[in-house]
Amino acid sequence: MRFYWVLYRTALKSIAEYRVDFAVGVITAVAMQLAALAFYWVVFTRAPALGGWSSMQMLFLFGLTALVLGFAEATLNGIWWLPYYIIDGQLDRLLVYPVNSLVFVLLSRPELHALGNMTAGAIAIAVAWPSVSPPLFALALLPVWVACGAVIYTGILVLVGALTFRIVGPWSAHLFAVHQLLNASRYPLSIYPRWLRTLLLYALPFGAAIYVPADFLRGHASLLGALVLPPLAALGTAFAAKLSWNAALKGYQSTGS
Amino acid sequence: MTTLKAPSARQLLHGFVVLAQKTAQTKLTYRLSTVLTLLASVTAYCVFLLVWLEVYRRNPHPGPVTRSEMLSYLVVAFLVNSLLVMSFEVRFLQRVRMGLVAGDLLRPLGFMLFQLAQATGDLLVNALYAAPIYAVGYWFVGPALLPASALSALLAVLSVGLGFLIAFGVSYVIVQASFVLQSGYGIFFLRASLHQVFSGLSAPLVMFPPSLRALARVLPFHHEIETPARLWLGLVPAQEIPRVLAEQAAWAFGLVAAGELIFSAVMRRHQLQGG
Amino acid sequence: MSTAIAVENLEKTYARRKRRDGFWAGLRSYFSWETELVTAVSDLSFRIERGESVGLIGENGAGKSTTVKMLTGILVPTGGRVETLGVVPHEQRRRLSQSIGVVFGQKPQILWDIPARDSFRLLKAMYRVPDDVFRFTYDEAVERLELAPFLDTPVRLLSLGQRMRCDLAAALLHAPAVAFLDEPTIGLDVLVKERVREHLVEMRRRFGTTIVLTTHDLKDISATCERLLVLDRGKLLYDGSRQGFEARYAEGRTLDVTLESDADAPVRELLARDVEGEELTFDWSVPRRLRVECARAASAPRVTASVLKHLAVADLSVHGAELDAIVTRLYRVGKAAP
Repeated sequence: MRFYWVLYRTALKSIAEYRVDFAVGVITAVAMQLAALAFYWVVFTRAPALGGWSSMQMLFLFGLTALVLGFAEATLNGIWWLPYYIIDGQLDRLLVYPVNSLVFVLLSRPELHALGNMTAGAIAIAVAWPSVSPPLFALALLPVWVACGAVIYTGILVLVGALTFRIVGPWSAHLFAVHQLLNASRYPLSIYPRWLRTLLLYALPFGAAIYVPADFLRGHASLLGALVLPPLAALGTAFAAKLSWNAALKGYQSTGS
Repeated sequence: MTTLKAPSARQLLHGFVVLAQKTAQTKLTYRLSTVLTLLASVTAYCVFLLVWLEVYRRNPHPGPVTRSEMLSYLVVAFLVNSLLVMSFEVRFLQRVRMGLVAGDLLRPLGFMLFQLAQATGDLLVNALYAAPIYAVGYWFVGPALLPASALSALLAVLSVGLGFLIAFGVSYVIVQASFVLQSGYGIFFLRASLHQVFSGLSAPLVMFPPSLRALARVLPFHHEIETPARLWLGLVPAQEIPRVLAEQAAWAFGLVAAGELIFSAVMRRHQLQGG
Repeated sequence: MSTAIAVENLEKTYARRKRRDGFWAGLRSYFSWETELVTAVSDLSFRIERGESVGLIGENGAGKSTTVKMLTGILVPTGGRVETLGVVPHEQRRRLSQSIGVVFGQKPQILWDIPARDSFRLLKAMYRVPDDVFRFTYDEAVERLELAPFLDTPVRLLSLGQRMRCDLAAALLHAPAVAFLDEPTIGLDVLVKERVREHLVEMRRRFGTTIVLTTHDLKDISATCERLLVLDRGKLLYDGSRQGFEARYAEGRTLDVTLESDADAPVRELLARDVEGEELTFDWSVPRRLRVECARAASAPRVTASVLKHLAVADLSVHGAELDAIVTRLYRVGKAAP
């Protein structure tokens, strides 16, 4: 266990070298959040509320998504680098270490400019907080939801990333598809057709960690749901991710690199 | 003193065509990867679509664009966007990572044409993919997807070509910037964000709040997608067409020229420092 | 257990997609493609006892790396049995990893741009190396491989030789029972190669490490291994002592002569008669060139003298049998007995 902490610290140390990249990265991260906000702005000047959510409530949703994204990128970001690990042959090296290869990969590349995302998210939540006016203990639950969301997001990325073993393309295209799905949960699920709603709540459960807690906080969903659903979804996704990773490794070991 | 013979125009053209072909071929082999990239854009787009549908549900007359106009606009915009997806900047950044760029800088085609050839290869493959997507879009939206007239179609194709050059120009400048700043993918994403907001991907500019609209009009991005899309659908008044096309052309050549200027400055500095 | 590695009828076959050239072929391959079967390793059998030091040689594509990958659990064989330290490598990969160390010759170390010192610390935590063991292996490595000057330099600023030395040190930090070294000296200069060999010898002496070394360089073998396995196109050509191999195959010398003018038949006759009694092969096939293969190194001086006496020589070089030549010869002869 202690090893993984040392690993993460080492990874951070290596990333910290590139200062200009960091600055550009933070600006970029903020720019990406602003881009999403810009669309909010366009839309909200044309319609007062979407799916029953006011603009402030949606801002809260936006903030929570940004926090989840930022936290995931700051800790479990390594999956995006998997194609390079395979091409470089570093995955072979990993297989020869007495470590959990998945955890190693995930922790190996923290994306520090995710701090930009997290800051944007925190600001958005702070701005929207008075309008949503949730109970105070919700503040303590926020980190739990963010953690669950990060696990779910990463878990789905891993599930899809296990495909990389086969394709080894020059770009992580399929991971972007997942990223876009996360973006879908920036908007209240109530505006989506029923099948999409179910998908985003149970099958690819971003909604479980973002929509449900936010819904609870604005007083439209039960506390029980907000307490139980996110961790459940997180565990389920993590389990599925581990299974797909193992299957992919088996495939890799059969075909080589 | 011996002088190296500069390659003739025919040789350059030949090299250009060959490179474009090769790029297209390579891109074709990564079929699953390309399909998944498309899937990613489709997903993003569906989100825009669904949100706008909700807007029209709440407020049937939110602005100067009707619901059906908006729908067909969004689909056409998506199509144009899919044509302009360029992998060459990513490829370039990867080559920087791997330290292979020195070779690229010395090719006979010249750096700019080299990248342009690759971008053209990308365009070819994208065009190949665009056909089935158009068919699917047609199935969903119907005849509203057809060009307003044969002239509209022609103008739109010309406009797409110019938009392609603009997109290339932007990418070309971005690629230089990333080289200078020794940055990773950060700048690439920055560009993507700007593109996402200002290109007209998410809505025609008339639907933007006034301040955002004003900003968008002075940036080149809306000429990548919004202009060709509007021309295709016949949404541009006849007297405005020449101005719009001229603006596109100006941006296209301006950006590429800017890129070249930066490039020669970078090269000079590079040579002085022995980077 | 005394057996480190046991391999029986090992086989590895891949299915590969046939690539076709040309734009239209590329388009066609979108919808249909052919696969071909490639056999990297076939019917391989051998045993390695603990403490042995074995060299694995063969040309590129002979199956050396594939074999090592199967022995370490990276690849799953398509046939036969393999056991390393009593476990099936790909089934108990993590457990096996604790007791083996691997050096991949051309692949970069770890994943980051950090100084070697930090990498070593990370590995210590990873393998849970006891402090006293670590202190010894670490100090040994730093001293023998002369790592001190660049221990704190980020990896990307190191030369290939420096990086390889760090890699070697890293692989042996936890005093593994078996060390797999896949082309560890490739691209290194002579001095660095020497140090690498010394380190291996010392670690083996101290910890009884079993060594499996893949290489193109015969000198690596002669310095560190007593046993040799020669692979060619996935098959085992030779399995036996290094001395036996050298005595049998590496003893010869080759003379490459460039002539100022072609030698006609009478001159060639004279030359042949002059060196009668030696085991030689004359190759006159290339104009103005002569190649003489001597079966014994001792013949070389006499042959050289004769050549210089009878022929108009523009250039002459004598060199020992090269690995490729030996292996090619082995292949022509077929599977050889030790």
